[in-house]
Amino acid sequence: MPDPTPFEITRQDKLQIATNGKTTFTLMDEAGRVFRRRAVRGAGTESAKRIEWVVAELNGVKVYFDGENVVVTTQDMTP
Amino acid sequence: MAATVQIVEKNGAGGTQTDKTSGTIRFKNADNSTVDLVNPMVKPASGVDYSFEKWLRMNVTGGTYSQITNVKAYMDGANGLGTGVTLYAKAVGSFATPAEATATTGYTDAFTYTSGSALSLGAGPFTSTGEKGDHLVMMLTVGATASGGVTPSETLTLAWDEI
Repeated sequence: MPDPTPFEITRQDKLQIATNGKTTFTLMDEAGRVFRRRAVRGAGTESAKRIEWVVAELNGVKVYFDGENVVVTTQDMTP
Repeated sequence: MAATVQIVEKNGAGGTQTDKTSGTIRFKNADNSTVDLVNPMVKPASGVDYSFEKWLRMNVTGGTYSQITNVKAYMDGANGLGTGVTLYAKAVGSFATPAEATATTGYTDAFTYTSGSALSLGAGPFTSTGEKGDHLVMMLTVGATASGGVTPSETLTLAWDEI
């Protein structure tokens, strides 16, 4: 299975938009922030896998998105 | 375009890099990145056999990004290397020639670093290309209760935030 495509984050006026070419993730509130949370799982093995998440954080709530699944939480999650 | 990130093993006095992002890291009784059965760990009659240190580090080779922060490393929380085999880890800023470990002082059992309690390799922010964050220094001990042969692989995760 190929590695997932990293999200690209752009700003359009007050919007912060992340896309991996297939899906789009938008934060509308200017007060929040959007960032990538990336990882290599299984590093140092031949089964290493890259993990690509985009995260929106707004008022202490984080929304995690891997291109298919959405998690909304106040917790700090890692891949 | 996101940062192009690899995980390198550094060997020798000059810290020669070998990309180990998806290549096996073999703990052994020598300072090299070769995955072979030369200079293997030896099961002792008593006490433990210490491996040479493995100096690993995040290396950004390209891509376009503003900054990397919150670099950390962690395991899956369960030592699957087998009875008598223990993996240790610590974060170190400046590189030193990998040497054979002689004690566990300064190290922590790597499997206590989990996704919820990871080993920080630097808060950043880091920019541009090149090696970033602290080195992840790991070493392995083999005790008298260990079984022979090559151990199963274990799952090391290196994670970071990026904008």
